Amino acid sequence: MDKYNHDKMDLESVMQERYIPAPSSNLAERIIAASLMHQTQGRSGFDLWWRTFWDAFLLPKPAYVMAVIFVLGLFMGLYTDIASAGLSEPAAEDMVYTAESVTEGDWL
Amino acid sequence: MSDLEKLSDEDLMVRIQRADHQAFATLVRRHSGMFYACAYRVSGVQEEAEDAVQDAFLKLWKKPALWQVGRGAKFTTWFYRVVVNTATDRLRRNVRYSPGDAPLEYMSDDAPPQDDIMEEEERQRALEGAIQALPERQKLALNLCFYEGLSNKEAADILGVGLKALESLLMRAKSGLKQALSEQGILKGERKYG
Repeated sequence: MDKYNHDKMDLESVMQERYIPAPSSNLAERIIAASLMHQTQGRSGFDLWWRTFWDAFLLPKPAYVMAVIFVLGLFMGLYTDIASAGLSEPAAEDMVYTAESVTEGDWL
Repeated sequence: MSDLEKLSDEDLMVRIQRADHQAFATLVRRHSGMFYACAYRVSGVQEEAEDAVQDAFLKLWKKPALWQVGRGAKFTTWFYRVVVNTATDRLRRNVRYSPGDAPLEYMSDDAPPQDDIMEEEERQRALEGAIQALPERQKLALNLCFYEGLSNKEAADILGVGLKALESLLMRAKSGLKQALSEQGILKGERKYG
């Protein structure tokens, strides 16, 4: 066994020896008794049902960001299409000009 | 065994959210010892650790909606975070205790000889002091992974870091601890520097 592994084993065995004194025997009862002096903001009825229902749809933050970007992109794309629709439509004069500029030779 | 004792922690939490005090009492009796050990590892002082666990459970009782059932978080993983944060906050506010000051208690008749007890106390004090002297996040990483037996993923979630960062914290914690214990001649085959 090389020196590093030997040291590592020693370190871990020393760490294992860490001593935790036992808690007071009445710790749990002390906490329970203390809690009786405090009001809980526990929920009931519809409020609890609604919160549980809403929680079921909770998404992580990156998912919200992606969803917002997607919706923004959708609206921007749609708006651009509508705004550019009038501009891209060819005017009647342009069509006449095109018709006049086509010579017979072009067809043959 | 009562019906409540058969319920999972998460089911008890749902009941606590409906202000069921019996469910709260069941949860406290089930976990106060485990979370006391966790708080002790943060503070190194029994009285302080007991107060931290009490504060954490009272927070849970007062605002049970802090735990959100829909997020699928295991109760113990979530509550570790609450206990660790509570114990750390108390430690920052209250520096009147010095870790590892309490003597070891040997209750049985076949207690070891006085010299051995003193040597063991000194060793424990050095170990506890070295752990407590680690930077806060390194100490938490070591406590959660090595002493609480949590997976790296769970510990990383509690600390709010990535897996790589957690591994780095662990490595630095062990390295720092090894150096501190070597300097005090606790580790075998090592001599005091200087």
